[in-house]
Amino acid sequence: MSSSKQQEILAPILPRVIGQRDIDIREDTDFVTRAILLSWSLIDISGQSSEKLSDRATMSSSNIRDKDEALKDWVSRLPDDILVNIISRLTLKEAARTSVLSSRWKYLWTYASNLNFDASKLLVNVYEETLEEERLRYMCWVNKVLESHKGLSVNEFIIVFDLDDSHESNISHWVYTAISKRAQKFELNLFPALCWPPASGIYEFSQGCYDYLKSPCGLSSVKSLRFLYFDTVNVTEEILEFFINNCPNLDDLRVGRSDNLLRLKVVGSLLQLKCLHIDHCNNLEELEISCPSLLSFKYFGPEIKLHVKNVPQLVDVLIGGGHGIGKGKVIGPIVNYFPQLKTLELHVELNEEILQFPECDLPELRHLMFMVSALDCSSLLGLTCMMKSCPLLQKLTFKLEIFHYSAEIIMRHQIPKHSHQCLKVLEFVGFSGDPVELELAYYMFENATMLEEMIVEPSEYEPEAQAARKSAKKLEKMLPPGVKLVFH
Amino acid sequence: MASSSSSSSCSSSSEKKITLKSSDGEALNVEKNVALEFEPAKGFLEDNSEEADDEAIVVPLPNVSAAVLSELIPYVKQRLELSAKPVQKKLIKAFDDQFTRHLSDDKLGELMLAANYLGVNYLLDVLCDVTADRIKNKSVEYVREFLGIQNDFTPEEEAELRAQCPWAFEGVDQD
Repeated sequence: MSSSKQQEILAPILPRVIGQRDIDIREDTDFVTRAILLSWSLIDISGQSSEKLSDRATMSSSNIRDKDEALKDWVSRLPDDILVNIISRLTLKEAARTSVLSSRWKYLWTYASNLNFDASKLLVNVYEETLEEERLRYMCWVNKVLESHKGLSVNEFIIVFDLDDSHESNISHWVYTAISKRAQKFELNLFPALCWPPASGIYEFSQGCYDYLKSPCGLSSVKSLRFLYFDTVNVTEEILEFFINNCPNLDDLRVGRSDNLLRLKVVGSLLQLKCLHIDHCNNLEELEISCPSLLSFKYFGPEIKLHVKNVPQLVDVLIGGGHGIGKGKVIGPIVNYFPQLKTLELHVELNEEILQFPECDLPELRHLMFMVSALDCSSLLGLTCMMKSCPLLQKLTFKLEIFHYSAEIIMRHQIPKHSHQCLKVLEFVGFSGDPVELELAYYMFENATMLEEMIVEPSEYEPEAQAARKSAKKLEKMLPPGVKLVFH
Repeated sequence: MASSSSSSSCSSSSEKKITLKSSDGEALNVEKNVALEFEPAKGFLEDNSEEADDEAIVVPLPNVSAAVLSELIPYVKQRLELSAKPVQKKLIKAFDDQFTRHLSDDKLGELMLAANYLGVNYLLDVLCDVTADRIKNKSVEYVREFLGIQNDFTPEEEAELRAQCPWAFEGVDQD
């Protein structure tokens, strides 16, 4: 087909193609990329319209029936590894169903590279009487799949279910399997569905598994690990440091609810670790971090001795729990480690006291989030003091959890006006529209002169959600010109 | 074809051109760096590296039609430009989504065969994702039909296989 002929065919199609295509270009897309995406949308003719085009091309060159015949069995002309690639993108249930498609497919699913045993959805409807039965079914299922699985290596191995130390032998077997199958992502999340702490105690990462890790075979397998998540698993400093120091590709380490973790050192100039999350490790006393690759650090837990140095790339931090603000505590010593931060989330426990903010300097900060738990409706205005330290702040988020609502604001503080020149987005998550929230919104309307958007995500619970919808209407009337209200 | 019009409209480099010859005998002119993304072409060019003038080389690709090649070429070209820049993964994903959003089931198969033959692994991954998406939570019968698979089990054999993993057959949505 000559190019002039194609122009003819394209001419009526082109405006339609451009008109139809939703081009997903975000605000943060830089100019060159926008240009590329736009130019692509102009020349891309792979859409429905183009099918006609290529159909014509094919029709002109070959018999249409031949084409249909050839296409019908396209799957049979693909090698097994591509079919396994498709199967690996399905859930295990869907993958196992492919075993009955035809004899060629009978065993393909047993090479699936994603072993995702996340069955937390089943736990939503579980009761104390049915829990043990569900656990047996779950363990039986995991073991059956592992028995059939023949793949030597897997991308992910994910266990998410309510299990405790009484199921130690099964869980340890899975840990062993995950490591020996060279999983790149290994998640072991045993968070209980019904009560805390787990009745038979938190599963303890077994000495047997640790011995295997240290064997030559374990040492070579563990090198594949890139993501490692433990939740409700008692794992010690020694074991975590083993992973940190022996997995050269470890990117992301998350540890939640380990009672055995007393100290942790994440130290090494060659580490590749980018994300470190430590969550609710209630016996932790000391944490030392020196990791030049680290981008994100999230800590929620008791107050600890925290030593942080050599984190030049760290831009994203969450601090909460005992180290949060509230009960007279200040966050100064921590925040001052990180002048290069771009996003910061702080957990604030608000009681009837005056909030103290340290002198800190966050010249690069773009997004500040406050996760507020408050017992009552004390004024939230005190939080805005922090913004003085962040001259380039563009987005301010409040995630609210207020336990006792009231129609009036219990404590007020006099907050001086302060102009926030860069703030463009103000966001409330868990909004219920009570006076403290409205007071805060009005304060921001007055002081954030460049505000463009207010995002409101109402509380998940009734009647707060209903109250939120009512208040949003009030809020809409008060919006300064040029500010858009987005209500989810 | 689309490839030539696209290369003239947004080519920024003075890349050398290579000619690819499709299964239906059409000659398509592409930049050398795009041609090198296709494994058979790469092999051919390496074997014929003593040829001084790239312009004179014609690479035969007997398993891909001109229609399919002319869709692949702009995709690969743009994908190369995108991945040469330090862009976020989600942008590359947005780009891939645009390419695959409106693919018909037949076209999906054609492209999959071509991407496999040409060894364009990033496209294969994207197409595998689309295929998986289209057979998600569907019945065995639907998947067979969709993928054009001939069932060679006897009813007894199939029933036995189903009985081996009953958990896999609970709660399938209507097709």
